[in-house]
Amino acid sequence: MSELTAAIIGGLSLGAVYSLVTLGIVIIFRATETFNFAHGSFMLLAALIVGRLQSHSGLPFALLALISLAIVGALGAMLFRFVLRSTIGRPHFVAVIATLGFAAAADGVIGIVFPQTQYTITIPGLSNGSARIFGATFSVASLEISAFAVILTVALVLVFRFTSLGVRIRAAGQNSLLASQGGINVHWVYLGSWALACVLAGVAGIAYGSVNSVNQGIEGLALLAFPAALLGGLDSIPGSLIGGFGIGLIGGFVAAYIGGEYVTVVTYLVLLIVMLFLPHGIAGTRSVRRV
Amino acid sequence: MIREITGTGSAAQARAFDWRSLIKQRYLIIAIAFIAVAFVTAAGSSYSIYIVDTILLSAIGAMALDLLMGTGGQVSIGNVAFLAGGAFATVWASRAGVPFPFDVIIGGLACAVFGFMVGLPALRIRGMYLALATLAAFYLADFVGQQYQDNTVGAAGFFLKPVFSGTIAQQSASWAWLLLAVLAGTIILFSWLRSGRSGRAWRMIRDHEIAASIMGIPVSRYKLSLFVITSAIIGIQGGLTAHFTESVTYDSFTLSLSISVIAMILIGGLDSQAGPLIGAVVITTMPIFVPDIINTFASSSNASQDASSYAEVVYGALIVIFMIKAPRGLVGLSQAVGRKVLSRRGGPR
Repeated sequence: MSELTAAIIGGLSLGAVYSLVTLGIVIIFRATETFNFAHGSFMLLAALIVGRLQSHSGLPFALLALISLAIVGALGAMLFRFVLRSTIGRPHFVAVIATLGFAAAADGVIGIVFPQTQYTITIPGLSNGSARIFGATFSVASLEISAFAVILTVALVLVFRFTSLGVRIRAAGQNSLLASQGGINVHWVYLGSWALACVLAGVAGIAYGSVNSVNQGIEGLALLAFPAALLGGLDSIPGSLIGGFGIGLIGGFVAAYIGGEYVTVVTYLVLLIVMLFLPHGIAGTRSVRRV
Repeated sequence: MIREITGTGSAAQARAFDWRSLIKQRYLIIAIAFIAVAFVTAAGSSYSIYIVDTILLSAIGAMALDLLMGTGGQVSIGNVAFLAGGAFATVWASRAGVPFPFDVIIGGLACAVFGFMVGLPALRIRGMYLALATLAAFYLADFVGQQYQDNTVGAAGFFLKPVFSGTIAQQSASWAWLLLAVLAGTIILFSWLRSGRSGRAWRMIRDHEIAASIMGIPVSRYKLSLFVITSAIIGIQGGLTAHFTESVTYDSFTLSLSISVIAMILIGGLDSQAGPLIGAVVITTMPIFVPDIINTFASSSNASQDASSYAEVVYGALIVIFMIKAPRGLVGLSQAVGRKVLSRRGGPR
């Protein structure tokens, strides 16, 4: 019984963070049809900035979070403006490899600027202590963080679904020519999508780092969002919730019943299986073509 | 019409040269590599021979990745999975008693099967799903390698007996000649594949997948065979690496190793004979020079400590810069410069 609750609640709380990361990856894919392999670097960078400044300066957490999110969002916008915009009209893989190169460079810079391997983030107002739910123990803070991540993700999904801003973003991603004919400034929409996705990555990084510690492992978390994005449907914004929680639950069950070291490999096996049998994902459009 | 579409990126150039010069170019590269190896093994120190060995090793893998990404247009970011797969399969075969060249071949065959398993789901779908599938392959290979290592020898890793006898310099020299032979074989095999029917099909798929299938090219079969061939070659590189370094641990195979190979082929120039070799030389010798260069600029006390971080920055920056500004790499740049010089000499036409 306690294993079952541990699997479900642990999986759901990790799934909440996954959904936030996955939402960013899906937004970028919708806007520019690129896999952003630098997503993990943005997560790590935001968390590291908060962690480092918190230990060195006495500034309040809210200000530090705003600063780091602004930096990450600006970097994302710059990555699009100065790198990815010049790959438009070239084969799709050019943009993907450019994000990969950016990730490598960012990792190197992070390694030089942040010499410590581990940082901690403390968010004031989070309760400490733990709760027992059906025989399994959880830290209250991690549940609060997960609730926050879910609320943010759901709010954004609703914004994308129901506001005119969301319609514009979706339209620009679907058909840039028609969208620009319809009076949408496609360039700004792309730029905004990248900035928004990177800010979300930053939020996820800070949220995850506050209940766990901030280290290179965060980047592996971002890569695990790719199986989640594929499971939910790469082009489906609500699908990021399905995919995030799906991968989170799979991870929770594997960790509880088989062992923690199997989580990553099982998740990527799921990726291959989804690709083989359900390449458009659970909620994605069925436009995926087999050749 | 067909020729124009299937030309190697610049159709005018393909018409200016003909296929015979391409064949000549292939032997010219082998001859240059031969002279370089002969010179270094005769006159160089054991350290410089060792560097030549590592360049030759990484050139084999870079050739394979270039065939996959440059000629076929299929993105693989977890190609180190096949390096690890080949190394561990070779270790397994070697421990089972298979003698030297055959265990490496078993490593290559194992990677061909592994590549088939990973490529099958991804390559039937149009788009860049292979990038994600190879990411999965990396974590799979890492996991299997880790389990195998932990259950047999533990954290220290596997140790293999040296293949050649003699002093260190003699061993390195023997390795250089062996690796040169493997590289020459790879170059000949790949240029044969590239210049024939399969090369045209791969380029057509890269440039326009829909048009390729309309023209009757069995797209997924060609993509899958390309991925299997290149995986097998990278597996052989992995097996050779295992014997060359004489030790194998799973934590030496990292994603940033994959990225360095991508940097090699982008810097050298995609879909070219000489590109991967030039890239291999540049990227392999970079960690040797980068700390010195940084010391002259920054003179920080921990420059050598941060050398791998600095190297990562340089790889990443080079990937981005070459991707945006010089998509055809150093080969493309030198050709453009050469054409400019020639046209100036010949005067305006």
